[in-house]
Amino acid sequence: MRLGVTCKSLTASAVAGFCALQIPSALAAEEPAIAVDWWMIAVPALLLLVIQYVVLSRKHKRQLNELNVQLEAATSQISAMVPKENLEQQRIASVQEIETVRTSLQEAEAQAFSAQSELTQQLADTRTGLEQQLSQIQQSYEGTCGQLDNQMAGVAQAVEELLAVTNTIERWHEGMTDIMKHNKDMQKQIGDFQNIVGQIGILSLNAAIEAARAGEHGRGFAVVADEVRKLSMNAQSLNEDYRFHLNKNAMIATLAFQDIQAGGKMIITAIQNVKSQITMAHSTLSSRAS
Amino acid sequence: MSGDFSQVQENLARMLEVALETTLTESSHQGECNFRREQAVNEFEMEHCIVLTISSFRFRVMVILHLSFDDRMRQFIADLTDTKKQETDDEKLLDWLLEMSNSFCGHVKRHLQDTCPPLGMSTPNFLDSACLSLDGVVEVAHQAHVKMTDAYGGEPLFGASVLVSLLDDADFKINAPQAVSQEGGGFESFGELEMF
Repeated sequence: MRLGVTCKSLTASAVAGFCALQIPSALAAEEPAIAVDWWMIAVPALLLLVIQYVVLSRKHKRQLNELNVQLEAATSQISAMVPKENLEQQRIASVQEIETVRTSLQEAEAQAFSAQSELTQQLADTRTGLEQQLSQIQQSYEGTCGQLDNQMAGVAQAVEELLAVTNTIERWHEGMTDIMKHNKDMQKQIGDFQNIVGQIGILSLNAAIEAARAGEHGRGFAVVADEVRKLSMNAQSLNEDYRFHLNKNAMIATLAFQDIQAGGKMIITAIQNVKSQITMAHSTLSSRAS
Repeated sequence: MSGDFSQVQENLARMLEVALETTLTESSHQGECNFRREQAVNEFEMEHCIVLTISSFRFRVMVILHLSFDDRMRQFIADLTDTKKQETDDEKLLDWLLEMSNSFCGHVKRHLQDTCPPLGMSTPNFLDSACLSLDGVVEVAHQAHVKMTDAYGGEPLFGASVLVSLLDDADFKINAPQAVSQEGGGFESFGELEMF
C-alpha cells in the first residue's frame, strides 16, 4: 500500500512536470510575455519535482528493502517447518516410547511389590526370633537375680556373725584392763620396795657407824653392816632396772591393748560399711527384679 | 623422697598444733596458743603423759599428750571449768584430762581420715613419762613433737607428740591441715568419754 502511494506520488509529479514544460512552450508561441512569467514559475516547480522524486525514490527503496527482509524471514520460517509426514513419524515414535516406559514401570512395580513381601516376611521372622531370645534372657536374668538374692542373704548373715567380733574385742578389752591394773599395782609396789631398800641402806650405814664406835668388839658387826649395805645397793640397782622394765612393760601393754582396741573398732567400721553396701545392693537388685 | 619426708614431718607437726589449739578453744580456753617444735619424745620435761592409738590397715599412729598432773594443772582445770580446785578430787580432774585427750586425738583422727580411711581409735591411758622409753618398742617411720610456749603460772602446760609406724611398704601421706576449727561444743563438764 505504501508502495502504491509512492508510485501514485511519482506519477502525479511526472505529470505535473510534463505539464509545466509543455504549457510555457504553448504560451511562448502565442504570447511571449506570458511565457517569461511561466518559466519563472516552472523552474521552481521542476526543482520541487526533482526533490520530491529523490525523496520518494529513497523512501521506495527503503520500503523495498524492508519487504525483502520480511520475505527472507518468511522463507526461512517455511523451511524450518517440519513436514507433515515427519510429524506423524515422530508422533508414532513417541507413542511407542511411552508404551515401552509404561511396560517398564509395570515390571518395576511388580518387582517392588515382590521385594516388599519378602522384607515383611523377614521382619516377622526376625521379630519372632528376637522375642524368643528376649524371653530366654529374661528368664536367665530372673534366675540370676534369685541366686544373687540368696547369696546376698548369705553374705548379710555372715556379716552379722562377723559383727559378733565385738564380743571378742570386749573380752580382750577386759583381759588387757586386768593386765594394765596389775602393771600399775606392780609399779606402786616398786615404789614401796624402793623406799624399803633406801631405808635398809640408811640402816646399814648407821650400823657401820655404831660398829666403828664399838671399836674392836664391833668389827664383826661392821663387816655384816658393810655386807648389808652392799646388798641394799645391789637391791637398789636391781630395783631401778626393775622399774625401767616395768615402765617399758606398761608402755608395751598399753600400746598392744590400744592397738587391739583401735584395730577392733576399725574392723567393726569396715564390716558395717560392707553391711551397708550389701543392703544397698540388695535393695537395687530387688527393685530391678520387681 | 627427702622432700616428701620433710613435708610429712611438717604436716604432722602442724596437725598437732591445730588439733591442740582446737581442743583448748573448745574447752573455753581464752589465751593464745603458740608452739615450739621439739626433736624427741623425751625432751618435754613433764611428769606424765596420756597415750592414745589410732589404727589403720596400713599404719599405726601413737598420739601422746604431755603434761604434769600437779597443782598448776589442777588450778588450770578449775579455772577452765569454773569450779573451785578444792571442790574437785583427783579422779574427776583426771577424767577431765582423759576426755580432753580423747577430743584432741579425735581431731587428729578426723584429719587423718581424709586420706586414710577406715580408722579406729583407742581410749586414752594415763602413764608416767618414765614409760616413754620407746627404743625397741615401736619402729617409728615418721614423728613430730610440739610444745606450747604459753606459760600458765610460769611453765608451759601441754605438749604433744605423734609417732607413725607403717605396716606395709606404701608411702604415708597426710594433707596440710586447715586453720583452727571452731566447730563442736566444749567439754566443760566431767562427762563420759566420747567415742570417735
